[in-house]
Amino acid sequence: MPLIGLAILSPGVQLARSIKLPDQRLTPAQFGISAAVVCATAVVAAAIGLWVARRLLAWRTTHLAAYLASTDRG
Amino acid sequence: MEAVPGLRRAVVSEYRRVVRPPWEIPTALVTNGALMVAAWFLLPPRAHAFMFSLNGPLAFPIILASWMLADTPATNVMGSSPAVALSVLKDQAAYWRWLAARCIVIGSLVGVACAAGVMYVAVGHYPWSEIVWACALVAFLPVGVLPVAAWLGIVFPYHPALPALALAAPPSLA
Repeated sequence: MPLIGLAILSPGVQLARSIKLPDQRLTPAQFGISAAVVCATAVVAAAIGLWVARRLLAWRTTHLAAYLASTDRG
Repeated sequence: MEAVPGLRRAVVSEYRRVVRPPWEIPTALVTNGALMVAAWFLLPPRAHAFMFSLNGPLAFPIILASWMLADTPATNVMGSSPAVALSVLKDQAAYWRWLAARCIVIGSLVGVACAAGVMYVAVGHYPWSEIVWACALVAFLPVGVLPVAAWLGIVFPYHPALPALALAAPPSLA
């Protein structure tokens, strides 16, 4: 399930729900602020994701090399 | 072993893989997109509310983007092409180029499809500022999702052919 996407969307959605007036649509400015929060969250998630991926890769290099070599041979 | 060239050539070679058999990436993206579209339009209201926390026409392409990214092209980074993965294990710069190339290719496919969805549902009904922000959202979402999704494939890589082989010839229990 697309939990990562939902997690990235959540801060912007919560902000939109908190600033929205009851029974009214978001104004373009409110929508823009919420969308900007989601975009910023995505950039932060990308930075964290790449950093953790690098750590994981260092931790799993030996295992990955053995596994990939075996699958590469078929 | 294959080497990963510069970023531009890595992106071009990833695009080549997309348009050649076995079409792993387009198949997974289209299947996930079709499942989400079916769930969005066919589920009864209570099940729809349970499945989707966001509602409204503009939410549709944004949720579609997150569903399209939730499968093996995004998660099984290392196992999908073992030869390239082996070549980048010891070369950090090559690994970054390869991961960035995959992110650019998958992100562009999802981003273009979902931006078209935004235009379809929003033009004429929403102000242009909201349409532009929604397009920015579907363009930025893969940037955040793909590096995190890659964790799964680093910890639990698998070769796409192996499950098919296992189904064709199940191991004997004797």
